[in-house]
Amino acid sequence: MDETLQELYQDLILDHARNPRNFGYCQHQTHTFEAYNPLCGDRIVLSLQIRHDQIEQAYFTGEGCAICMASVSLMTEKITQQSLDEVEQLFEDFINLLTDASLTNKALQDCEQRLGKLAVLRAVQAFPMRVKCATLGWHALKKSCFEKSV
Amino acid sequence: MYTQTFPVDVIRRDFPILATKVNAHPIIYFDNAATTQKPLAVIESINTYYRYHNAPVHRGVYKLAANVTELYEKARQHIAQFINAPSADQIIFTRGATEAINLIANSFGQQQIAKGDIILVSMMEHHSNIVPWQQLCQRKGAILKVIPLTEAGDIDLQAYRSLLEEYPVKIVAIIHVSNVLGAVNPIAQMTQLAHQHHASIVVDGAQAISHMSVDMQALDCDFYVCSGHKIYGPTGIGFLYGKAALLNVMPPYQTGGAMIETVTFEQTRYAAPPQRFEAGTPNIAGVLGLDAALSYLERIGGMPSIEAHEKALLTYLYQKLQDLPSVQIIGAPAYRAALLSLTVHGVHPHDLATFLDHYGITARAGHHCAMPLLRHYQQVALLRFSLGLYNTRQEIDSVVKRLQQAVEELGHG
Repeated sequence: MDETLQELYQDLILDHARNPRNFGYCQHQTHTFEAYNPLCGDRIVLSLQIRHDQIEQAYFTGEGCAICMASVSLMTEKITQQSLDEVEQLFEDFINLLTDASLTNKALQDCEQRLGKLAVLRAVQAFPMRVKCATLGWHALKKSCFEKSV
Repeated sequence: MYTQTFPVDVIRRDFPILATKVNAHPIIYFDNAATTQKPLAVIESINTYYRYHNAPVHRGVYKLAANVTELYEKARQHIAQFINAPSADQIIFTRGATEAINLIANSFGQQQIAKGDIILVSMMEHHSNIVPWQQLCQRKGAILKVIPLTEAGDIDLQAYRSLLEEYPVKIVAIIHVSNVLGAVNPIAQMTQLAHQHHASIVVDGAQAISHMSVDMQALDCDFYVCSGHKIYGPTGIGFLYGKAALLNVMPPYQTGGAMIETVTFEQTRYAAPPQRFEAGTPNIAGVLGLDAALSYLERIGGMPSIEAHEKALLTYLYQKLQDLPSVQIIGAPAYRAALLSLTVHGVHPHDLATFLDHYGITARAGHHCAMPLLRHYQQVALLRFSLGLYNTRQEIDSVVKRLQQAVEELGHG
């Protein structure tokens, strides 16, 4: 693989795609949402336990490409034990990182710092057709946290 | 004129896009089932039309209008001859195969289908040959039934026969060549069976016409639809062929200028086919571009030599893919046009497509607008390689090499 491709399919992403973390359902699920991308068939079901405006547990199931699976897997790790305010910030950071090429260096650094390991997905920016793959789980997160509950 | 063997290296020079690069690699275009690239002859015919011939067809007494009307109607004759239709009046220009099917469903279907009637589609249909019939069934209280496939991915003819015997089938809507499996369906036989049971048959030829000779009189089908851009012509133009006896009594699909005989505020008398079905100013540049595409195909040796070239390529591709243990080719139909779909164990089709694209290889990943078929195979996405007349063995070597590399670098290792 050459460099740009290597950036996209780096070990961390391939590792999470092959061995997704938090794969399954929360035992005490309070919120869930199924996100589906009809163009490619990627399907993610997010299962959350939210208590006192904090995500106690985050799990997911579904099927999708490496980018989609790794993104959700890393996301579930990141949002566990985070407040909903922090989650909303992470959502914005992640979307900006992938889609906003005009971020200042400072804004970019802040974004990457808050996102931690998830910042590896910045490589997706060079592959605009794959942004939807990387953000599918995140849209499920937004829907389940802020728009829908069970 | 080209020589008898298929001089693919010479032919490739006729397609400007094949000299371009994708991601710094020479383009290898393996998405011909989605759309084909255009030879210079097509690009120039469109250019020439707008530079020298632009005028309305079928109206205007001036020379320019008369000239372009002649070119337009010659194109219609050319298409009729290309598919061996009895008459040019049986060729109706549409935006593409999709609009053609919608025309048939909304005109012929609307006229013929009543409550309780059955419309048959196959398990391997493209969405464009499912949804218009589904809508028609909903409007009329008719029922859509599905012709199943055999294990190999062919139409189950026994089941088809039983459906025709058991139900009041009025219309059979069938794809000629599957855009996913590559299966070539036995249209002549299916037509004969449909007619024995007083059903009409609508054939989606979008994938067939670029790979093989199609003969309306041999197939004997009632309707046949095609898209120009899948046969090396421009986008936004296609056509439908219909039996004259059916077209003559069908009501218009769209109304407006060009499709009338007389209009008063009390009533309108419609023109005879094909004009009845071509309301408004048509896509003249598209028609002339399509005409140029067919001329080009004839000039390089015609459909039999293209078919032979593609068949050799498909066999080569098939054999090379079979050497890769992690590749599973979907379906094993008795006859396959030059396309196939596959899965790779451990790597998602979208990752494969991105990987290949990075090396200049365009291949489609997804459900290919055939979600029922994918569900049948318990798949959500497939990688498809669809070949065209300009593809080569060397390209296949590169593609298979890169596919193997993707398996090694993205797979479970």
